[in-house]
Amino acid sequence: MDLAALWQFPFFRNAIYASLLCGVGCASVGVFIVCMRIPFIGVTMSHAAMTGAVFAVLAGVDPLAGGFALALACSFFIGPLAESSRMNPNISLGVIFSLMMGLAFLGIGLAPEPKTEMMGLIWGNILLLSGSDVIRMAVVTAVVLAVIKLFYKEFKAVMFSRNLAAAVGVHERMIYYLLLALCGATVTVNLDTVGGLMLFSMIVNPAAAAWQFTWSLGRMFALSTVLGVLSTVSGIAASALLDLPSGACVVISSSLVFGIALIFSPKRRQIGHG
Amino acid sequence: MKPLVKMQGAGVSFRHKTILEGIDLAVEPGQFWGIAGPNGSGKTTLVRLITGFLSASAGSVQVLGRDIGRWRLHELRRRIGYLPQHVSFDEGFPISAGELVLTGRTGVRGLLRGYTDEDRRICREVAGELGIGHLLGGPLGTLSGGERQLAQLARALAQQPELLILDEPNNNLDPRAADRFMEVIERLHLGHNLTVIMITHEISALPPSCSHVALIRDGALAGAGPSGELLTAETLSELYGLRLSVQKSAGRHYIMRSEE
Repeated sequence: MDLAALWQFPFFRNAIYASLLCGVGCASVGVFIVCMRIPFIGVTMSHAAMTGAVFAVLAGVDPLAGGFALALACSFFIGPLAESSRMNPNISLGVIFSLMMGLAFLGIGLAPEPKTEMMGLIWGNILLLSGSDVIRMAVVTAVVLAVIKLFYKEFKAVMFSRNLAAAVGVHERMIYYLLLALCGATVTVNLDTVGGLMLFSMIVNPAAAAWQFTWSLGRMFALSTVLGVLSTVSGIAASALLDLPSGACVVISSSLVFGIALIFSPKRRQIGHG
Repeated sequence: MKPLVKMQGAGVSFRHKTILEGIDLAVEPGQFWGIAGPNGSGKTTLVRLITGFLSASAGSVQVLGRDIGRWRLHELRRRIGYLPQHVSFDEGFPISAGELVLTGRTGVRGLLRGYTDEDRRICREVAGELGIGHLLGGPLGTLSGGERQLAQLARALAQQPELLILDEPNNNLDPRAADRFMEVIERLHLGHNLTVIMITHEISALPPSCSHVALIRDGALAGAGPSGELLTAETLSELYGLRLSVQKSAGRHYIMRSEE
């Protein structure tokens, strides 16, 4: 079946809309994660969102609410932890990350059969998304983008250097936690798209690819979203055409985008000879 | 005239360890203070008290005419230009030198307000005065160490601060870049009557216009007052625990090890 034929089906249209939104949302917050070099915080939050959503399903409440609550709680816990000088924050994050994974699989183990919804949160289930799921994604993505626009100058200062932002009188801590909250909301709302286990590739890869080509943060946001959309839409299309798992296809396509960007990166050479 | 910074018996303790104690200091508007002392003596801790990054566990600290506890710290910091010792950043970070300078206007402008034409004009003027106007459009990561330091200074000055604090500003600069940097600082201090506090472990880094010094050793004040009175062989030998001699040349004080 070709793409034009697939487009006739609402499930496929929803999947493409969702992948567009996933590409835009994840690639935007990915710019924060890549610029601030906090990938471990990001991956821990995405697994916390997955765990929160799994337990929300178990408790019979909205997985979005559960996922966001745990991702947010996690960010307020790991934020200060990452600032602490008592222990290397990566060690503490490693403990929390594996705890989140363990709890997610415990939740799945406790769930009665069939576990379709749970598995969707982990591996992604983009072909089962409804129109209302897509609308919800669109609303959250729009809010995330609006907040980025509203606090852009503060985000830029904090991303460059938290110490410097504080020194010029920016509400540095508030902006940092707002940034983590945006990451939490984005990973939660996109759990169904690629799945909690693989979602992180959509956050890091497009932004890391965009980083290679520009010295302007504004252009990095724009390029990252373009590459994010390219990764998700091509991944989902390949998954539908070749009958392969969607999450895996998206991870592979975004990794390819990053690999190609790295090969042709002009910035890498500029810094090397700077 | 009210002092811009006034400390009375100020001290900092952390986990039962005293880092700074009994600091009495009064910095008047228009003065240039050098804070000198051996590495680890507590110089940076002292300016962190002034900028509110640390709270005093003893004594009182007044900054810009108000007790530090009465300030909203982000409002205080908008009025102080602070050049920290290390501003570590990723060289590939997507930011131009001009955008870094504009960062200095972020706190001044406040939340939910974009930069204005006035902000951009101030940044251009400051950068022009520091001789880096032609670098504003280029990526920060490709500038030399000296140019980056000037860009950071322009960022601090773009705040139009009432007080400029420099923490070991010459650390990563070669002698020529360090001289040029200090010439700029002196020009700003003398030309705009800008109050400056400069931390250094190297006495010779203090420019001729440095009117006052505070000497710190082991977290305590070893002396504070006019430079001419304190930058002597006797006080500096005591400060560093070495037999030193002092030579004055072109308004600067150079210290050397004395023969036994």
